[in-house]
Amino acid sequence: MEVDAQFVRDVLEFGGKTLKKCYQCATCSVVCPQSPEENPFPRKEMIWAQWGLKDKLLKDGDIWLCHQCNDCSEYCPRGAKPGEVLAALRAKVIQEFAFPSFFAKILLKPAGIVIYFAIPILLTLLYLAIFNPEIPSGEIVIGNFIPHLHIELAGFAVGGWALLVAAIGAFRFWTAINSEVSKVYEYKLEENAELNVVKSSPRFIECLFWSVIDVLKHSRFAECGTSRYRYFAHLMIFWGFIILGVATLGDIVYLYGLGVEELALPLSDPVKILGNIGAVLLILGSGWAIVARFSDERIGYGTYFDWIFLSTIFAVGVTGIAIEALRYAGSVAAYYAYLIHLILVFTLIAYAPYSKFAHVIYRTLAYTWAKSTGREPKK
Amino acid sequence: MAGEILVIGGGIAGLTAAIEAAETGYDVILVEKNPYLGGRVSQLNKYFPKLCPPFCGLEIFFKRMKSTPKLKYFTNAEVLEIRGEEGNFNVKVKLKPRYVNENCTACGACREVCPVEAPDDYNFGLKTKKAIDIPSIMAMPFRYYIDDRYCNKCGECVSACKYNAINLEEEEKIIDLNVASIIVATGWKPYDATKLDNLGYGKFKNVITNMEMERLASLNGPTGGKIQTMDGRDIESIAFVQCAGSRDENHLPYCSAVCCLASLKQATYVREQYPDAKIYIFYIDIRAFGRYEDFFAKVKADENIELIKGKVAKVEEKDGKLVVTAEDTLTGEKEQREVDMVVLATGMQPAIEPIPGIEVDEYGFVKPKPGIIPAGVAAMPMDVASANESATGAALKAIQVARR
Amino acid sequence: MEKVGVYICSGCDIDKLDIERLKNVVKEEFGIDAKVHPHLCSKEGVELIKSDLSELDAVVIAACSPRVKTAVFTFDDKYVERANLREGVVWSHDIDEHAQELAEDYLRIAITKAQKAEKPEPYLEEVSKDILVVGGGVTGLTAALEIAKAGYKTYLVEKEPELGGWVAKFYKTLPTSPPYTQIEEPVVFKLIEEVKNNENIEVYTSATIDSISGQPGMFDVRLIQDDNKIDFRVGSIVVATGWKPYDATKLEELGYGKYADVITNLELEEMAKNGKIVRKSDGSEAKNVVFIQCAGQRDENHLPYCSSVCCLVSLKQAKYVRELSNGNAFIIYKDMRTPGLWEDFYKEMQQDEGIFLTKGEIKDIREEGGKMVVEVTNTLLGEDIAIKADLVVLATGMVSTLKGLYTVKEEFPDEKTVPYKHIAEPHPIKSEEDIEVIKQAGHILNLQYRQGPELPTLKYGFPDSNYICFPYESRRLGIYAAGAVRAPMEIASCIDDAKGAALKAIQAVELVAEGKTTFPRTGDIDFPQFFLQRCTQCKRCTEECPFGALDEDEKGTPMPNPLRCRRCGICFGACPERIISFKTYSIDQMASAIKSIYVPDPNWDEGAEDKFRFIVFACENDALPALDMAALNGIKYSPLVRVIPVRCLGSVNTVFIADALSKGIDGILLIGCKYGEDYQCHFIRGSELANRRMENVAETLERLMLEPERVQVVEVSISDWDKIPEIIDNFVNQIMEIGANPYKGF
Repeated sequence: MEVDAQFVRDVLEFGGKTLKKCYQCATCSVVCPQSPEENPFPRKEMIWAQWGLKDKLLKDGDIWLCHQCNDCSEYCPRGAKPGEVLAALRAKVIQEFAFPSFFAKILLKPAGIVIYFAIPILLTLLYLAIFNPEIPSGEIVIGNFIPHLHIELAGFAVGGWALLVAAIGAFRFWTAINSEVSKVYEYKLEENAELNVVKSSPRFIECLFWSVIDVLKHSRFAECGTSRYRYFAHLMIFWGFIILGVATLGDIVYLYGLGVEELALPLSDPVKILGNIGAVLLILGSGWAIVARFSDERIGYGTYFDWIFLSTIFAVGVTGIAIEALRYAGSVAAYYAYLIHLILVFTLIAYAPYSKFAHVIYRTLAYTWAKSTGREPKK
Repeated sequence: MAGEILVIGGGIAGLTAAIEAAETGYDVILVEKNPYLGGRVSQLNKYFPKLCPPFCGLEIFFKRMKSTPKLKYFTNAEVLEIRGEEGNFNVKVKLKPRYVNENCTACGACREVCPVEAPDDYNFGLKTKKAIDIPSIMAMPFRYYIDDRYCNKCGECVSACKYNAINLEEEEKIIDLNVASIIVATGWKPYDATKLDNLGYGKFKNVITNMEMERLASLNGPTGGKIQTMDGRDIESIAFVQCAGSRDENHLPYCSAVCCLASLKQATYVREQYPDAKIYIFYIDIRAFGRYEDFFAKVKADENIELIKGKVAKVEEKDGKLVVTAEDTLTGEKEQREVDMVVLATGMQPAIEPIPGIEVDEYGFVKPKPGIIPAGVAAMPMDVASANESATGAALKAIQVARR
Repeated sequence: MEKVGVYICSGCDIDKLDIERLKNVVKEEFGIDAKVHPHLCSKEGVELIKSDLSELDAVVIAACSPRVKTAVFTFDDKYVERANLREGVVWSHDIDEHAQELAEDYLRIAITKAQKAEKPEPYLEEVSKDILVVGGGVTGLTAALEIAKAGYKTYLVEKEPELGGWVAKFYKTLPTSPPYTQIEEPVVFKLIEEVKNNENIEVYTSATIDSISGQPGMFDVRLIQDDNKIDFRVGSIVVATGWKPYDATKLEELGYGKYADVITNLELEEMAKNGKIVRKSDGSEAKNVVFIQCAGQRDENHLPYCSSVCCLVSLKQAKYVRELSNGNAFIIYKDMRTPGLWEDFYKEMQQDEGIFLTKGEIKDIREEGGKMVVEVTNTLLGEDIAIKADLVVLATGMVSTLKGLYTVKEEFPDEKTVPYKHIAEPHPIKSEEDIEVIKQAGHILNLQYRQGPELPTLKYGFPDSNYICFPYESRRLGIYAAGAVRAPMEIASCIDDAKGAALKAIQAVELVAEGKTTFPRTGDIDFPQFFLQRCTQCKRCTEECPFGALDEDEKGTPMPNPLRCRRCGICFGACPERIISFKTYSIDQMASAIKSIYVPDPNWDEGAEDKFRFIVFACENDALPALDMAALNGIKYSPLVRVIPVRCLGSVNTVFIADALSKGIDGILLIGCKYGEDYQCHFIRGSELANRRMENVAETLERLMLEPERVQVVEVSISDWDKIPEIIDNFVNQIMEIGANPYKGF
């Protein structure tokens, strides 16, 4: 067996600094509302991480079933904060599976913040140098500053890149977690269904479908005890994003379906309303998460990995609203806010496969895997 | 009043320290806050690993005290403050009234007529006592006392006492002692199990603590020694939950050193009364150090005792039974056991109340300083034999000061 | 005692008895006017007694149990005998004619005992209060220092040329005081400095003990140092000879001896002390080191016990690997045993990212491509693991230095001897030559005691106390073991233990200086005296004394050493010639007391056929308190039984049985403490000896045509108070069914 001492140091550095305190009492595995009966987590993950068993952890879907409810950390007799350690492990897994891995390694370090912002800023400067857009005068119309088409094209490019990288990660991840499956269960695919051990039946699409339902409903998150706020905060952020996504779609429909020329929509416009609701949810959700993280040291402050993601979301929301407010106020500052907003949106999307954002994919896949292998907690 | 050595606490460590020092030829004053000597061990049914009764040793201790005029003691006494320094301490002691004087013959006539039933702390409230009662069948001094938290001063006992032994007007007294050295043997109290919110104590009546188990198993306990559920059922299965509060930063960060062995011992109590009962012991590490390993091996050989390595983190009630859950860390499976009773192996917490002049560490254990010597569990968690070793050593340190 | 005063208390329901009849018995049979008081323990009651004291030698208090009001009824220089009318009669029996007769008999017994008692004189000799400490390790150094600080002169003897013991050989040690978090420099060098600078301590290194003879207060010690003999006298001894490592060559299954890179924790200690952790095979630095816990310990085939320290030691040594090699340390344990505050140490060591811990069992150790491979099963990692390592360290255990030595005769029974049940591990021998062979292994104290040259051991060679309440109980008064010789322990515990043993050693010299013994009869000055003219040299007393108090001359005549004596009376019970007696506890006294019991004569006394008479000899330490507690709980038992307290069942001489039966007593029950491996008998084997003797009595009974059931021995513990009345009643019923003693009225 190869013990990877570097891996242990990495986990410690990635926020699992309490890792070594664990003395394997297994309180965590029992108090965890997400943990299945058979080979429950996170006790085993703790010792694997203590021993630097990187391979095992990369193949371990369980760490993605953890929602950092922190019931484990709350009851942990040693202050080993399994919730935090698993978060660190997830960061480590994202880093390992992301393509190219070295880029992830750079981005995930606090010093990487330079690169994190340098890329979009340089790209923006490049754009400004090439197209030299001028601050329009008169009524504030964003589209007059930078054409929507440019934004859309850039969006597609960045999104495409992100999707491609994410797909590589997802593929690697899916292969890894399925390589270790020893038992396969028949799982009756409806909500709160009983678990049946009958025969091998990994019906991927069905499992994925129900997993997405779970995700939409946050039904697993809802089980959380200690950090129940996370369920609400996450639900707000999550639906904030979805609503914003729908609003963006609405924008596109306006532009290309209905032939609307400019998106300086009035506040009463349904798409605008939707957009505002989304933005508010995003700001409130991420704001709540930020405040809550400060308040309970017993369960952990989180790490750079958490903070950069959370702050970016918050900043995207705030700048989005700021543009709007400035626009209505008729201030040209709206254009500058817009640039900042674009930079932030870029970091959110382009780095998604390297940042905490990647959990969208990993966790959904883990759900799917859990369903297909019966790793669901007993109700 | 002057003496050479003051011993605070009349439990097993305090008794040992006081008697050993007195038998070596020094004047010793022992103060005990309870109305009786013997402390925690007097509440135990048996000691591990010999399964012998603590009364046996206490009998000898008390006998030695009677033949050692150099040892004086006060019960119902609390140390209020310590001033001065090694070689010359001035100690203020509050003597709470017992209301029953030396005339008492322990005939028990007062108890017969007392109308007040009160919860019995000695039995952790598992049974009642009278407001005037004798602390225990092995009480030293063997004399009744009035628990003034409950007494309504009706005077029935005064009329019933033929020996003029009761004085309801007795008042608290403060005395000053001058001593050369002080042994602090204030012992321990069981950790408050209601703080262990996931283990069901206080929520389910059949979740009890290990000290309550001792009382249940004791002949002079609430059930006359019969181990049964709180609703009077026989035990078919029972779970012992180790480290209930100990080795836990949220509760007692240290290991209490005795709970593993205590639970193994209590498993033998259950076995003696129920030859077929299933006994589950959930543990993190079985700490049967030294020769105690023999005892562990003996208990482990019982095939109806199952040892599960994993801490219980959940206790629930289902159809009148209790369900405990732990992960067996060797198999990686969550294990559930349905049992009639759950015994929480709660740990030892230092019992000392703040006394000016005595310093304690972050856990509340007494720190040694010149002339002030902690002994037994006041110093750190330990078993009875170690407490007596510690107390004997403390007696040495005390006489070193006293002889100067 | 000639002048005996009798005082009857009529309080606490005793007045339910016919007090006048009691007074009449005292008057008519003993010619004494008994005084009655309704509250004898009150000031007035005590005054009543005190006003008569000048006229009296002895006082009989007919009131409550001797266990209560003891201080109240203690009068300087006066012998006090208690007739237990309260717990013994009125609280444990229905008040009727039987109870009345019981009370009368208790008065007869008490008065007879008082009359037959003599005034004890202490055994006073010129004693030395100097103290010998054997062993110059951390325990011995601490003991010597602490004794010296208490003002006693101390001799410290160490067989090695240097003081310090094992600890001086260690690179670093476990912390010696709380907080138990940091490894420290060995404390022993500071102790050595202090010892060397202390005027009260005389140090002998490279010295062994040639012999120790005498008794506490008068131990004559002969040392050998560089072929010189050094003689001095001490009063008591602390044995701190420590431990030796378990012989690792027996651990072949763990690869020791087979692979150069499997070493013991002691070898690692030495490496660390030299500054580098290396592979023994090629001298290269060891980076990955596996520690195997319980290497022999907790194993029936090696050391069945836990060595207490090895988990801590491996955690400490793991730190060496981190610091000296910047390597990785893997610890494979059975249970992580860091009890009490040592949990803090575990927690602290665990923090190190290069220390890897798991429970596990060793499946295989082998060499592969120049590396050691340790295969571990039953781990916490969910699977078996194989660790590639440069070095494997076996956490071997501690063995008492007494292990393997010839300790005391009873632990080496020959073929003719039935070993005592309290001896956990008898080592049977065939002949005296065997002993000589065993003695080749060496000795520590070489006591010139008839029963053997060393401290008796309890189990696994540890001369530990069997008593939880009395950890320094020693079967050799004045000699106390401390530290790792007594039980496996770490340094902090050794330091504490040294202080405890030091106190006991000081206490012993102070007690023997006044001719007193130690517990449970602390302060007793009365000692057994031998009327040797009538001795038949049967050697029973010298064999049976649990404390080695009696030596023998060549002919086998006992040579008593009163200061070694614990006053149990086992010798007195053993002697078939009845030549051993205490002043206050004599054969004559006990026999007379038994004879004083009035046995109704079927020829004369009305209703005598129903008035069976039984004697219960009850051990004063457990059975008697248990009977008191039965009485307190109102549990009643047959009033036909007369309870006579004895110091120990071992002090019941068969002559008492014979006397009682010949007097017409129908049955005799001996109630004593549990014996055997977990003995509760305060005198080690008193109750076991009683059992053996009564087996012999049974044969005698059969010869006398008496049913052997008439004499029985039972073991109880103090908390069996609910059972004792039942035991007594069952016995009574059994004998009543058999019928009356035919010797009545002879």
